[in-house]
Amino acid sequence: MATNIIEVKNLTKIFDVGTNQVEAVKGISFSVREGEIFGFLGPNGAGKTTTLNMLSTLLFPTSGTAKVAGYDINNEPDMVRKNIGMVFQEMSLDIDLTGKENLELHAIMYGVDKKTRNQRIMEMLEIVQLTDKANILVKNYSGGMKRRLEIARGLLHYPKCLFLDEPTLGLDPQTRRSIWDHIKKLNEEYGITIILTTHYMEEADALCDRICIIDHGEIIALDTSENLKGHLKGDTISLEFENFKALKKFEAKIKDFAGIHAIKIITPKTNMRQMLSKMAAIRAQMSGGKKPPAIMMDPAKHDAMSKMMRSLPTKMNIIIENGSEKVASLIKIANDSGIKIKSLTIKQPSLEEVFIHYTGRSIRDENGSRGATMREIMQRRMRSVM
Amino acid sequence: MLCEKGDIMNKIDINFTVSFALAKREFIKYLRNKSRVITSIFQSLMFLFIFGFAIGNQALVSAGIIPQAILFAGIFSGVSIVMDRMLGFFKEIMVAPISRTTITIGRAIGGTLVASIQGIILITLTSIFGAFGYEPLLFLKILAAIPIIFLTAFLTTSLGNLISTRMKDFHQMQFIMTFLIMPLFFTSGAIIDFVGTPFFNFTLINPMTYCVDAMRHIMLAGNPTISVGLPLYVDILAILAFSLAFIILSAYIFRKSESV
Ligand SMILES: Nc1ncnc2c1ncn2[C@@H]1O[C@H](COP(=O)(O)OP(=O)(O)OP(=O)(O)O)[C@@H](O)[C@H]1O
Ligand SMILES: [Mg+2]
Repeated sequence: MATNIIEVKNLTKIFDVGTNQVEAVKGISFSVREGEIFGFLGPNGAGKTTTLNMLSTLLFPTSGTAKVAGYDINNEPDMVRKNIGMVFQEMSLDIDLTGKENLELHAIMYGVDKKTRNQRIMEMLEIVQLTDKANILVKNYSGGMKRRLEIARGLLHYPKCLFLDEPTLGLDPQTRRSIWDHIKKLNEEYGITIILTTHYMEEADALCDRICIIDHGEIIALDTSENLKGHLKGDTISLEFENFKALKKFEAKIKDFAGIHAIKIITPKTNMRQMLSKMAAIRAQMSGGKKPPAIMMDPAKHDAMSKMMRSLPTKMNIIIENGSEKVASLIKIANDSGIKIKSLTIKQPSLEEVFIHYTGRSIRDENGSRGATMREIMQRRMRSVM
Repeated sequence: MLCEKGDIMNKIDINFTVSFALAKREFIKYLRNKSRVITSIFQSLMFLFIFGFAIGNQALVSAGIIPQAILFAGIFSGVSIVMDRMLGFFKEIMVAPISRTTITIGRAIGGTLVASIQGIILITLTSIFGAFGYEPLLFLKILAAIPIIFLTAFLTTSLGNLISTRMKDFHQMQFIMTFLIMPLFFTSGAIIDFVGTPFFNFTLINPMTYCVDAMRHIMLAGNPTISVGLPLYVDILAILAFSLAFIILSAYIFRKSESV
């Protein structure tokens, strides 16, 4: 079998944020085979970028190590960099240069000879459809154009190992597809190993040989897309109820139902702290500054309270074998106990379900990681200054 | 702890093609930023007229002001690194398969070139305005001053780069401006002449002292009010020594610091 081009052992990164410590990557270990397309799938703040930054030697691990193309990231960072390429999640173009100048500088830094350079620049500009904008200063590009140029730049040279951090984030489907094709071509024709992170299930499914689901700095699952789906052993029935009470009641009723592998309650977006503070405010209001009552009043009587109650979960996913056959009996259970089901869908397992199964939430639910947002604000500010 | 192996190897791993490409980038950006050129020249001329008239020795102050203008330009190349860091381009350079030394040299060449041009523009303008008096040898003096301008530019750029290696934002940069540049400026003897006073020995720890002294050697040659503190060759050696120390130190810090 193919050898491993990346071997990661107990890789850990702890950031000092003031007096706090953020453990962004918690001792992960995995390996990537030569010639593979390997994908990291994880919600915001999972530690994907931090991991890639350590593998590309931009960040020093707090502990643990990794070998990339045979070189140790701690001891031989210069040799590691000679074997890799990287497309960053955040903008890293020089906005005072033209698109073409950006590409040329990159090719020179990566030692692409002049003839190949011109030919590849033309090819990549064509793929990302920026040929007619090549000689315009990047500060006059739109956000999407900048992103496309960034990817074009990353694919100009053919390293052993190519890291792509959210390569197609925010691009239109057509461009995304042509970039996928090019990534596949680089992988198949030139044997370039590709490590990418993504938020898009279709992207992970379409491109990756193996997918690594990562959450809170830990690897939760790592396998081929097929096998990950296989683990679910069943279909997903998504149910929505009138309110949280109905949901809980139904959950209790189906506890012993045959063939159910898992029941996942989908937490709505409102975060817990917000809810608690709201709750405290309502209590204070109700008690008129006096000691809050021990038992809450009927939520229907209070507008604010019912509004808050609505942010409690009302949706659940049931992973069940032969879902389409069993759905009738599930509905019957609900009807018999007077529980009203607002909506119901049955799905064959998809990567999305796999993700929800492992992380307990949908990938698009979370807020952006703090570092990224701060820098984006900074970038925007800087741009408006200049 | 980090980067033990191959440390020596990589210090001499210099790719000049890339260094020049990085320098070219700096230069292109300078040419595209017209307001930067105009602001810096206007600022220097203002200093020149105010201090020149106040102190009454136009030639002496002019020779001192030129290295200061170069100091500002050199430090600005450090500011541009901080800017790269904030705008993200820094990562693109840092992840490239080039040694930190190659990057440092590219920065040094680019910054030196830009700061020198500022210096040359200023020396030409001050000469036209008659700060050094009009004499047949003036043109030759300007030519002879150009190497000193380059050395000064090299020194100040190295200093700017050294300062910027750990800078993450403009607040820190402002701090440096106040607590480093201004003292460097005022203790260099550019405006107040310290030669012959006991304070002069103290000013020898300021690298700008040598630049000012060297510039006076050239531009005030044959001038009766000439006041130079050291032989020219000592000035030049000192400038080179300071520059080298700054470069080695910044290359070292560069290697030991994270890039994101
Ligand atoms: N420089 C930093 N300083 C402090 N904390 C950081 C830094 N960079 C990242 N973090 C924190 O580490 C965690 C992981 O961040 P990371 O950027 O790796 O996530 P991610 O998986 O790439 O997320 P996203 O999908 O939003 O890009 C987050 O909690 C983030 O706030
Ligand atoms: Mg990220």
